Amino acid sequence: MRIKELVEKYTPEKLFMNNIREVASSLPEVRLMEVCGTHTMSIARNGIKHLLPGNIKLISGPGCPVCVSTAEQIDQSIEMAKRYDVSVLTFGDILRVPGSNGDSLANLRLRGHDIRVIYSPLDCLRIAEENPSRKYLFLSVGFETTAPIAAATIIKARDMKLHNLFFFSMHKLIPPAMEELLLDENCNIDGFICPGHVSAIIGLNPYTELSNKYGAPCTVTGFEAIDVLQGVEMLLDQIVNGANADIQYKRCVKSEGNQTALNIMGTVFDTVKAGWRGIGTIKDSGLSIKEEFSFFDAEIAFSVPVKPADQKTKCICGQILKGIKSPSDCSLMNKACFPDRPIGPCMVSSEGACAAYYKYENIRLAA
Amino acid sequence: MKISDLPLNTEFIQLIHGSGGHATSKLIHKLIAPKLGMDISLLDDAATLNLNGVNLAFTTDSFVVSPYRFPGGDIGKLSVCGTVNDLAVQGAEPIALSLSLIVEEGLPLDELERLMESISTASLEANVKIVTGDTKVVGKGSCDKIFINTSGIGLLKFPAALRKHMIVPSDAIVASGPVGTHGVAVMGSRFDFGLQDDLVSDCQPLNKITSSVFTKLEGDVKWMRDPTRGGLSNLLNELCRDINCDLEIIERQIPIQKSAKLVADMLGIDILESASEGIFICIVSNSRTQQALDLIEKASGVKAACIGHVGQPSNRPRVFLNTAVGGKTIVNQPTGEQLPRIC
Repeated sequence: MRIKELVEKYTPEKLFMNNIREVASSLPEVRLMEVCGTHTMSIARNGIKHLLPGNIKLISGPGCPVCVSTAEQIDQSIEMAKRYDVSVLTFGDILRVPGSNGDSLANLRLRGHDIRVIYSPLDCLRIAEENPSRKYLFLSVGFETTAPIAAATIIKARDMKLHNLFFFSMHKLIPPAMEELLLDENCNIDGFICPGHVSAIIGLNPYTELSNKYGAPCTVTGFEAIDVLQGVEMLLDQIVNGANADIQYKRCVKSEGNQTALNIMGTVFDTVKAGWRGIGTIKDSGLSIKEEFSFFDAEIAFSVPVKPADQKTKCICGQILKGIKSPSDCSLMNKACFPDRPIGPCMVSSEGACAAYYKYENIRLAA
Repeated sequence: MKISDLPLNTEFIQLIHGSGGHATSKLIHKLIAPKLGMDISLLDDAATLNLNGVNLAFTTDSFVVSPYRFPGGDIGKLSVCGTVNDLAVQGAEPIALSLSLIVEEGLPLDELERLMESISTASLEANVKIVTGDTKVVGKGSCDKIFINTSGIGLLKFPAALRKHMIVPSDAIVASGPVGTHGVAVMGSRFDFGLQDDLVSDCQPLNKITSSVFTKLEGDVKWMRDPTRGGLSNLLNELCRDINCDLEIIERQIPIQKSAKLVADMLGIDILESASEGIFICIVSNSRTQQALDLIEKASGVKAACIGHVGQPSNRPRVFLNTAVGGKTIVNQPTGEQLPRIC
């Protein structure tokens, strides 16, 4: 065999695939859920579902922070901006998520409202400082990866004595959502591909607890295709030999997590119950700004009534976020819901399950 | 009537309309071209005109890049190369350009001078003359520093080439160099990544390289375009619909600069959707693939690559990607502005 053929035969991905096929051949259907938008995209982009044996199913969970923000929270953001005439600073994805009446921040921007996309919460400090006569509302969305930076920004805002920057915290925590899904008998999850960067912050502990309590295999996995394949291999190993939460993404994640980041989060945020689109209210799954920093809390400074959203829609994002249905099951896919005309948040967000499906896996088209 | 008073369902021009993807296409096909009585089937990078037996190509492009100075170039160089390349990929030898400037009040004169030097250098390199132009100045805030339009005329010189009806399954799809570099270099320069020297725009005139390819390969080069807005993804999707065939692309074979991929990954951008301003994609007869690669490398100094092949004819043609790890996905048409990841 020539060197070139040898090298191509024994690539790391082929070796992982050989192991996966071997273990999978002795297993029934296995449903592995990822709970991170970056995993959703990486799996779709690399065509990994197509590569795995037919009985190993990868499903998407509530891993996209924009997708799991409730319609009420989007309505609240829009109402805050309009009623108090404040400038809005936001991550790009939230712009086009429709609220319950079809309005969106993108629409508001077209109509002349000052809404700006920023890449880091720290950008808000500079913008607020440069424009002291204007009030700014930052829509603080994200899981445990983003929350520490948001917390650090709030602390800095206090240190800088800024009086015109306010934060609407829509932050959520992943492990409580994972537990909620394990308790839901409709979800049938056999193991979790745990989020790489959230875990860099929170470490392995939360997953060890889930593994011990529910016998749920958990592997903290990186984002390259090869990481995902190794992560799947390690999960199948746990399915066969017993759940024992572990880390594939060792180059980035330590068991103890990032204590500095966790401390900063704890300084600024309280853990509270939070609404998750499609799942409902989960206790201790959201972050709210502590009283000590209440000056910066937009929910106080720009208080608006919270109306329950009236959701009569064919959009099944809720079930997709729980992994019960997949994007191809939705009657609106390829017929009424498209990335440039989205109906639900899973299609809007660049990391949503529907956006990933449409972009990379949508091989069947509408008739 | 104020904009904010318009009905909720009023449609507006949005940034997505300028991205070169589906929304732009729809705007042109459904709103602009019909009003102007333009034949949609002929909409290419350049229009072809026959004047008393002489075949000419005519094209126009506007440049609004921000920042106007970026690693590897500036808006001046881009405005020459962009229009020259639109002519070159249609098989035309660029002859003359017009140059229209819209300048914001307050732009330093020596900045304008530097841009004119860039334009001069680029047009010398492309062997094309600027023959006419216009300068407008608008008040502060009415445009972003400087906008440039160039229009160009070229002589169509290769009648045997670019016959897309001669494309057959198994024809090779060739990339003349790494993809997506320009877009990432510009976006990356907005942040302080410290990669100034490693990641520069690939902006360059292509006419000498394309001329070499057309001269030597003639009828065996059947289609050519440069992947600007929307990058390779947009180009391949337009191509598959243009020829009504599936395309089979091999991810491992797509040439990508390491530093560009690094910055694209950090920003959460798909490099296949990022613009190039100094490469072209062409379809050549399978039997002449190696010759095409050698020609391009000799003319440009950069390694070209065969990135895939034309597949079977189809009513609903798709671009299929065989991924680096052995998976299979589609490459869909990019839909809008690229947004970095949220977390």
